[in-house]
Amino acid sequence: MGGEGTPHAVEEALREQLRLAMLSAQSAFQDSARLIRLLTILGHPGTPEDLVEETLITLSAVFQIDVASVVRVVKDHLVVTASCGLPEDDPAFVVGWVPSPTTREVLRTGRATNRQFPSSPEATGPEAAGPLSKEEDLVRQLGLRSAAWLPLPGDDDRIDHLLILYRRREDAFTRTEMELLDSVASRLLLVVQARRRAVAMERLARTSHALSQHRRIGPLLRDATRLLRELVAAERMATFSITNGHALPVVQAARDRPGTDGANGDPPWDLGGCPAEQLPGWDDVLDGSPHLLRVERPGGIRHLLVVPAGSRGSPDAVLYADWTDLPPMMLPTVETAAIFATTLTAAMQNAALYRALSASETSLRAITDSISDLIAVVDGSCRFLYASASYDRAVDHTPGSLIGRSLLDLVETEDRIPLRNALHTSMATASPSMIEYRLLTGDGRVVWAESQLRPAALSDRRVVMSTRLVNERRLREDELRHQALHDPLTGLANRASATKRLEEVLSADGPGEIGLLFCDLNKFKQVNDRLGHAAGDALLQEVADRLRRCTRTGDLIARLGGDEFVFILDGITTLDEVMEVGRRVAQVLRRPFLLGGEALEVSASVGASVGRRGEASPAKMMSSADAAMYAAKRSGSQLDLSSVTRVVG
Amino acid sequence: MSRLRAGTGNSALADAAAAGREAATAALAGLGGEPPALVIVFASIRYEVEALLRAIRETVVEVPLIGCTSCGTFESGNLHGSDDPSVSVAVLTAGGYCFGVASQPEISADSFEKGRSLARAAKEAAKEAAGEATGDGTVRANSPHSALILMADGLGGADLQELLNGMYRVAGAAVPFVGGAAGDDRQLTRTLVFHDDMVRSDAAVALWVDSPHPLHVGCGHGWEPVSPPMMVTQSDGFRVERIGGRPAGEVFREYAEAAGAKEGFGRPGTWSAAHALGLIEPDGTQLIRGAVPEEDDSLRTFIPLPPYAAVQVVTGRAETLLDAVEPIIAQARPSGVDPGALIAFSCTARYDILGERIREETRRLQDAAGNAPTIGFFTYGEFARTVGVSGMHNATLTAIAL
Repeated sequence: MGGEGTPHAVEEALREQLRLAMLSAQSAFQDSARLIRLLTILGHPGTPEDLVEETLITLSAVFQIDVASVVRVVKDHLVVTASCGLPEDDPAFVVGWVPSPTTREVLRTGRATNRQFPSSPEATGPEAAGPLSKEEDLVRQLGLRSAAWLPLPGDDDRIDHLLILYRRREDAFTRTEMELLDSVASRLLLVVQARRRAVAMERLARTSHALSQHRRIGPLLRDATRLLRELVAAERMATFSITNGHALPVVQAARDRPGTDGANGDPPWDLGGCPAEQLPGWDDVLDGSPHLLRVERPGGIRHLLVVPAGSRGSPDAVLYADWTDLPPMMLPTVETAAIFATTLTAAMQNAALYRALSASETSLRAITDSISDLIAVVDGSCRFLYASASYDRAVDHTPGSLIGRSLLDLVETEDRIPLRNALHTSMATASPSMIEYRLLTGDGRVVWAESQLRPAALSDRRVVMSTRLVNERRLREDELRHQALHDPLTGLANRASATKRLEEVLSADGPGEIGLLFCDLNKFKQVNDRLGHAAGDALLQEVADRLRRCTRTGDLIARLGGDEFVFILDGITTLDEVMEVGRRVAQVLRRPFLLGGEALEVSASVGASVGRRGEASPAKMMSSADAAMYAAKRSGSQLDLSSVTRVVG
Repeated sequence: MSRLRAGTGNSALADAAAAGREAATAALAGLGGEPPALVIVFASIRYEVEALLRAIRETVVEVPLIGCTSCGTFESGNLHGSDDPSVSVAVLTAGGYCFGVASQPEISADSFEKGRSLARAAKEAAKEAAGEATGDGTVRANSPHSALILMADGLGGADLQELLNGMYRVAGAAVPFVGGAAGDDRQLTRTLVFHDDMVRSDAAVALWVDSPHPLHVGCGHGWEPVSPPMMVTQSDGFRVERIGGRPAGEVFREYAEAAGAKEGFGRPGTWSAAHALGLIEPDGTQLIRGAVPEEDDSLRTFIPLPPYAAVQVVTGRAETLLDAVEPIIAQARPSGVDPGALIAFSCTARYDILGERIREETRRLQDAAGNAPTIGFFTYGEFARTVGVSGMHNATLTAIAL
């Protein structure tokens, strides 16, 4: 071949350099890729347990780790909490490992370490002295040759957990690898803590919803005890409610009777409770925040998390979470408990308020149900917010069917606007008022109601209505009013009504003038005498009907008494209009009246007067028309309109 | 040192039952009268598989059966390609081992949990077999070593890596895995796995072996990198979008062509068996990941790449592929002693690259196994786990010696 310097040798040398360069680049890429893959995994969403598992799997893949485990330090041994590489039924998950000397050293110094193991399983040395630990068994069984230990510090920098990685590869973990692993380990811890907090927060959110459903303290505290136990993973719980300085245990369930001795020989809580000051950690309970407490008991030391709930300085309840050994990472747990306590306090206050409200509602209901008036509360849109039971009895509408409906729907159309205005005025001016209106009942009738409106105290958009049915009175009133203004026989207006009307039109503004026509039946007395009063009445009714047809719209026809009728013509512009009415009267009376089988001829004498608004007086007009009518009667002409007098003054 | 005996047989008869009977009879004959303990069947999907298995089970009665469909098989140095449908059968005695067989349907749903339950079932079955010690006097109680052999349907949508992860959770680092994804004569439509007389798709079948001595899995491929290491900068499961910031397809084509890829290489949808991506392992070797260029210049892989993976473009040349066979088999039998049988799983991609020379692979395989009968099939993906959780391979040859 050739020696140094030959093309072949040079080529070989170059190839070798290229190979080394490639290896170097490969290695660099790998380191970057590893870091990125691990950091990517730490960013994945998921539970803390999933996160740890995925991290172990990724570590296993990128570092070619045979067994990667997270172990928890429990007193004098290690319990595996998660592993990639141990079979799932390995006792290390339950019973744990006896720590190897290296592990002990790492626990003591808190520093990450890596080691190599001799290849021969029989090799003895200082490490193998003493009883074999399970860790060493593993090393032998799998032929593991190197390992790395990474501490995961907890509260107060105590080493609670370790990440231990074993592999069969001979070469030790390089410094770069150790630094990378260290940074992954600490990030993992931070992320797991954050996830745990997030899980606790989520649980807390659900908890508060569950607790706020309660109305009674007993079930509330029982539920709260159960929820707190889950939140903090307590071994046991004990809860006390405090009333007037006395603490009473809250019974959990049938099997959880107070006064039961715990398995560790705890002294039983008194069945009847105890003075509150005797509760463990009472002094700090008054302070209001959850805290940890270590108590000596006959059965051994117990670790308690004391959680007071209620107002600061006077708690209404205290919950105790209880452990034999304090779990790691208690700081987030105490924080969680503090938030829980706030939630519980709010729920307790909520329950108390609701009970008070419920009681006052009940008494109000008792009062309103017993009075016969209809009581209602309506809002700014005239909708029912409340209706008493009497609505059902009186107007056949159940309160249930009224709530949310507009009151106006039940009111006679003409009365709606006045009622609505009255309600709004009451709301706006905050002053009481009264109004009458017609109400449609549930069974289709219309009744008169009289309501007192009073604005509600707490808001300006609500009115309390106190309603009475006044139908009978109202109908009576209407009747009387009608009677007061009408002639009972003919139904025409009566004298009082006519006088009133005449006064009104003479003093009103309007076009034209006022005409008055008096109309007197001729020889009516003879008819009355000959045929009797009944026939006379019947004749008057028939006459009244015929005369009604002579009026124009807006005119009034009245019976003044006996056989006298008067027309009040509102707004006439010519005398002829007056004459026209007179002519019509004559015409309608021309046709004979049929009475008792007899055909009677009836005629009338008519006299008229005219007056200006604001000038003529009713009395003068009446007397003028009257006089004119008599003149016509005496002269025998039915209608003497030449004597239509103009009344002045 | 195992006293396991094995026999293999093959048949290319057209009728499924006749083929099954012929192959099984030949295999049984190799046992020299010793009682059979396990039947392994690799068959073409073009057979009526239920009838095939029935005939085999009538020949080798009341013996657990595992197997799957393939893209060609080999036994005892003979290659049986996928041109004509054929079936290869191996029958094994117990030989100091305890065999436990189990199967798991519906592996595409919740693959991790399915893997766990499959491993548990197979492990249990092996314990039960140990409890029924036969009369050959072997003390079975002391079998501290184990291995898992797995065949699965990779076309049914299962996440096979998750399946393996689940099995790993049960088995632990001490138990090596080996196996392959079933084939279907390159139709890429439907593959089936067999367990006794059950034939299923979207399923996996596992053989748990408890052994008095350690069992070893050999794994390798013989591919070589033809690019510097690069980082996948954008990917999404099965799609590799960017490598080193450039479109993945472009990068792939560039290096493959420089390494002698043929004309038309890299057309979307076409898979060139001879070029692939290699996922760089912590020890510098590559896990081969077959890749198909897509329309949008991304690459589609058959096994998902982890995000930000470090990769190289790799190429497979017939020479290096063949030269890798002996070292791989040597890994499976480190003590040098002839095993009782060798079960191997070779990738259909190797068949595609080697072409006619595939017979050489089969022959070298048998040579490396010595006197032990060999049996295997061409897969759509291989399983081999010796270290850590990886375990899914493409274009790889993997084997276990019993």
